[in-house]
Amino acid sequence: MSAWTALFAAHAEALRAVLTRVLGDRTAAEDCVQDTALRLLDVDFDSVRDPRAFLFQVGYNLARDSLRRRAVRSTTLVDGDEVIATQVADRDSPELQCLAREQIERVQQALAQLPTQRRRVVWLVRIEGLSLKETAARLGISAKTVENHMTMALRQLLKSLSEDNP
Amino acid sequence: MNESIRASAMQWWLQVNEAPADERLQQRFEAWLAVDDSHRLAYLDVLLVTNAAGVATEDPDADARPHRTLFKPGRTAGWIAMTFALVMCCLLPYAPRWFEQWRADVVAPPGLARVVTLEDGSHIELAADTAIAVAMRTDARTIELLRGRVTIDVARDARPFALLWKNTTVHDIGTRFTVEAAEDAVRVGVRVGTVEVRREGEQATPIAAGESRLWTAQGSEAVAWPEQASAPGLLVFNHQPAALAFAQWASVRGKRVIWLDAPPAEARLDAVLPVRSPAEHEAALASLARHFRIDVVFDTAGVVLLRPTH
Repeated sequence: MSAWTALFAAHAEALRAVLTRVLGDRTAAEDCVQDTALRLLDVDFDSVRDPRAFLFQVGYNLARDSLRRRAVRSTTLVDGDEVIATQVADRDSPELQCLAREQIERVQQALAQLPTQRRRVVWLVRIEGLSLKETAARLGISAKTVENHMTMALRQLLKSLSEDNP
Repeated sequence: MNESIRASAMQWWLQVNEAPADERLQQRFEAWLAVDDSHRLAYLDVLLVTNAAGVATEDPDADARPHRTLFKPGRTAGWIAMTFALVMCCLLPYAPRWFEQWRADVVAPPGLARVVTLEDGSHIELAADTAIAVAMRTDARTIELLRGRVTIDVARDARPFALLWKNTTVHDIGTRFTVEAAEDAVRVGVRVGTVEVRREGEQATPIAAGESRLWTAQGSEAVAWPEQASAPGLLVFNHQPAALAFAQWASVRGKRVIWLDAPPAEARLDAVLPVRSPAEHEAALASLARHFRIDVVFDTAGVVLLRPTH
């Protein structure tokens, strides 16, 4: 069993659950999960800094493309505009793994630009897995302040992502 | 993408992660997702950045991270608790006094004597810095001396009258008597009539008019009564042991004496010391300390810590 296969076996169920919920479509979610597995096989495991995060990043990107295709299909049915459908389909390419890697880099760079306290909050929530209340207790600030920090941080991180995906 | 949808997606991510077990919240979240695919896309964007932000990297703020600092915010409660404990330790010496104040029915503040008349007509003179608890029941009259010195003119009444102090009970038989107490020393003097003093494990001791007796940890002895003990501006010590002498000084000075070790029981002081000014008060304290071989460990507003010189 390869390293990717073992990792996928460990996290496929979690990815499936998230995508089923977000897409609201079990079949589409399953397609994304299987596609994730296939795309991971093309990537050198040792070149990935955080394989688990990379797996989910690929899966989320596939889900996003799936949603866009769904939106375009609806539009095509109404308008007959097949050009848009073609453009979106082009995004579903072997470059998606590169996109996932690039997104992680961009977000990490944006993270490094955050004010210290905001970066602490993101670190505690995302890396140490604390809840907002636990983070507030750790930092000696209110939960509302932690929530504000997280909201501001997410806004800045999303901005870095949208630079790549308008 | 619509900014409000993006903001909603961020809020949902925060809420859903904060309360994953809240089924109603999860249902409302899924209902929000189902409204439109733009909601799903916005939420996926949030998942993409939060997932990317969760990539384990070297802590970029390692040196400044709160737990590396002395005042780690997470330890704020600990620091507060330590500060609270320290304050409580500082206030601990005052605890017995607060307890006495809480129990007391009549209190004479430091530096000010007080006279009260009980419902049976008995008069009680409280020396400065004295506290008593009064219990006038249908079958008995009881005064508990919490600290200081009292002189009591007992009114005639069918009910017996008794004064309590620790393990000592002074039973009155229609008289005027004085009791002063400090640490393990208690002194009972009778001006008129007779009293009977009972102490745990000892035979009852009668004291008649004109007599005075002192009990310390070393035992009891007959002593002359310091008639001028409460003279204004003077401290009169008549064969006084250390505990009572320092208590007498403290009651006039308005301070609280705390003994770090048991006061010496053998030494006695016969003296008259002027206490008409702060300088004379301090001189009196120095004289007492010298005579009884006591170290004044700490002398501040309200408290004097004493320890016998070793």
